[in-house]
Order: sequence, then C-alpha cells, then structure tokens
Amino acid sequence: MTTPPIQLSEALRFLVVDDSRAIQAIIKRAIKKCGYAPLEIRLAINGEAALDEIASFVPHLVITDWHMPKVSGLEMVQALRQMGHKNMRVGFVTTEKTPALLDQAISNGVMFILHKPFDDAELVAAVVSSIQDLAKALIPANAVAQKSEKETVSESALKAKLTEHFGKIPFRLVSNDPMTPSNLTPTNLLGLYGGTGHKGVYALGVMDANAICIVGGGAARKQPTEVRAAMAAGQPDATMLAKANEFMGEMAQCLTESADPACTVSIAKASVVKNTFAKLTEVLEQSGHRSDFRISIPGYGEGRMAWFVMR
Amino acid sequence: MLFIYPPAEIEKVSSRLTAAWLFLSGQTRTFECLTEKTPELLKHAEFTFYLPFTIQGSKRSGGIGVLIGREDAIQVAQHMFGTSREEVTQADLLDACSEACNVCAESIATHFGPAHVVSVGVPQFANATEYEAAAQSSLARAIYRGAVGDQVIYAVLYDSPKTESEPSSAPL
Repeated sequence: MTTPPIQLSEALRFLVVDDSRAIQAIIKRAIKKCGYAPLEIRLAINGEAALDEIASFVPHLVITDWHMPKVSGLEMVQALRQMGHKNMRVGFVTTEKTPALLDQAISNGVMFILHKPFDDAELVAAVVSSIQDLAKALIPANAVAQKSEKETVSESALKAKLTEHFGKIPFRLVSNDPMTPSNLTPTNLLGLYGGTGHKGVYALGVMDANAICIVGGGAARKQPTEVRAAMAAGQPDATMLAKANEFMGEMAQCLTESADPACTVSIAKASVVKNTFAKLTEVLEQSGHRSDFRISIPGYGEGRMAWFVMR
Repeated sequence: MLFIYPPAEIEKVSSRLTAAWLFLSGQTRTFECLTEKTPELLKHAEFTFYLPFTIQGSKRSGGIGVLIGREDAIQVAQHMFGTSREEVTQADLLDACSEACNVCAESIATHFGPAHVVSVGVPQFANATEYEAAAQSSLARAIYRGAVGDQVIYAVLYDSPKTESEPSSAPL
C-alpha cells in the first residue's frame, strides 16, 4: 500500500540536469517518490540549458550531473552563485570522485553528492532531506497531521544538532536504516544516558567508527583526506573522538524532547567499545523505541549512528 | 598474465561492476577478471563505447571499453527508462549504453588505488573500425566479463603503450 502524498499549497519545483535521458528518467522517478504533491519537474541537457531554465523557473532543488558538454555541473553551480542564487539548493548525482573537485562543490554549498551507482532509496532520501523543510512550510495549516508516536530522536532535532557542530558544511541524513550487529564497525562510541525519575540507564547511543570520524572531523573542520584516512584505518584521532564525545553528550537534549514531560535526559558516560561488547549486540536487536540514521558529508564518506530508549 | 592489479583490487573492481550492473539493469550479474589474453573474445559488440582516461601526475593514459550486446542493451534501457521492451527506441539504447559505459568505467577507474587520481572523459560510441583502431593502439590490461547464458558484457581496461620513463610492469 502506498501512502498518499502530502498535498502542498504550491508545487515543489525541481530541475534535473543531465546529458543522459536515462539518468534523467531515474532521477525523475525518485523525485516523484518524495511524498509531496504537486510537483513540477523540468529537464535540462547540460549546465548551459539549466542556467537558461533557472532564470525563469527558479527551482526549489537542482539535481545535476557533473560531466556534461558545454557547461559542467560544477561550472553551472559556480555561475548560479555568481548570478545571485546564493541559496538555491543543488545536489550532484555523479561518478566524479576526485577529492579536490568534490571540495569545490562543497565550498559552493551543494546539499548532497550522490555517487553512481546508487540505490533508488538513497536518491529519494537525499531529495527528501534536501526539500523537507521547504515542503513543511508549504503544508496548509489545516492539514498538519498529528504525530501518533514520538520518535526516540527526531530527524529534525538531530539535523539541528549536527548543524550546530558543522556550521555550513553540507551533510545528509538517511533515517530508518537500522544499525545491526553485522554492519557495526570494530570500534564504536557508546553513550549511556540517565533520565530523571528513571532507575538505571534511560537510553543508549551508538556511533560507529565512521560516524565518529565524520561527526568529529566535521566539527573540527578536518580536511576530507584526514577524515577518509581515519575511516580507512577505523581509528578516529583524538580531536575527532573528543568532538564526537561532546556531540554524544549534547544528544541528551534531543532525547529529552521525546521523553515524558517530567523527564530530563543527561549523559552519564561515553566510551569506546568493541563490537563484541555483549550489551551492544543486545540493544541493536531491539525493535521499536529506537532511531537509526546514516550520516554522510560529501568528500568524507558515510557512517551510522542510533539511539535507543531502554524498556 | 594480463592484469596489473593486485588480487584485492580485482575483487573490488568485480564487485563494483556487479553493483553497477544491478543499478543499470536491475539484474544481478557476477563479473570475473580474465587471466589469459583472449583478444578473440573482444569482438566489437553492437553497443560498444570507449571512454578515455588520464592519471594525474603520470604520463600514462588509456581507455575503458564497454561492449554490450543488443539483449543486454534492451534490458538496460528498459530498466533505466522504466518502459516496456516495445517502447524502447534505438536512441534510448544508445543513451542507456552510454551511461552504462560511464558507470562501468568508474568502477574500473577508481580502483587504480588511493594514490592515483584518475580523470575519465566522456563515453563515445565506437563502430567496429573505430573500436578496433583504439584497441590495437593500446594494451588490454584487464578484461572483466559478466555473462548470463549467451549474453556477455565486457569491460576492458586499455593502457597506452609503455613509455621510456614508466615501464609497463610498473603498477599504475
């Protein structure tokens, strides 16, 4: 059964820029799965055509290839910024992986860089994550749905917390992809939280080694090469670990938001544990009362983190 | 022996090609690296694309050829465009196979190892004469084959002829 799209007061506008009609078709399908309606999707065959289109269309999100004839994706973004579209949202779908070029894209404020081949779900998640706040602002006041169940950590709260740490560094969150014992890295950061009125551990947070490097590296404004090297070695440096610890502690605020009104959550302890730690395996198998996320920063890579309320 | 990769890289490339093919066609296909020089296998296919590459800081360059037969091309176009077999046009086949070359090439090119930055060009359709000319002026360094029954795809890494400064036995 498909959930009907949320009706917005005006259309969300997308511009897909790719010299391959086949990739245009794939991106178009992903946009249509974003869960909102109405949508207006226009296509451009290269950066030059896109710039012409943007002048009158003003899309909410531009999704572009990198390598195209005439004007490349990166040149198009640079031109966009020069034309005054400082905040126009742009995401890349590309095979380009050269770190120096990706860094240029990041410095031009792109929302995401998705590498081919990708899962359709990843593209849908990237699209949703890029336009969610705009879409919410377009939901008619009388149509705001009541949330039936509180999330352990809401995506919006986590996003806000990460933004505090990352500043203008673009990042992407994908929700609901569960962290499991099999996708855990050998070392992980485990946070234990207490809650007022609760005996023992109220909640538990887990960041895998990649997430430690990404969150810690992003907060410390580390170069992508440093972060990638730490991820490859499975060994965040002391600064990354310290920043990740700090972040884990601050997540208590997000857990408090979803707790009973009388409960305030605070961090009790954060420590690095092996993936063989028995309590970790047990909690990763918990169904419900959990929030799982994948986080990525273009040029860095991807990691996993999750929070669990103990039952 | 043809290949220049250490065995771990071959496994990585094969696995990435499998992921690429799933993305392109919606089908699972295992890719293997051929260890013997078998040029007779590399006959021009109806949808053959060639994509040049250069390695930053090296005098070496080369190309990646992707050879796709009609049945596979139809499968890729159907999957990517989300249309039925009857709706697929020749232009769709060329467009989809060009993108297939692009994605397969990335799978191969990114595995020269972390020390090498590889810049790839734009896929170009090659007719039999053009492909033969490109292939004969290069050395086939690694041939990856993905086969299901009679349907076979080849992804071939070509290296430019050896230079004085960089003997062909040096790892790329």
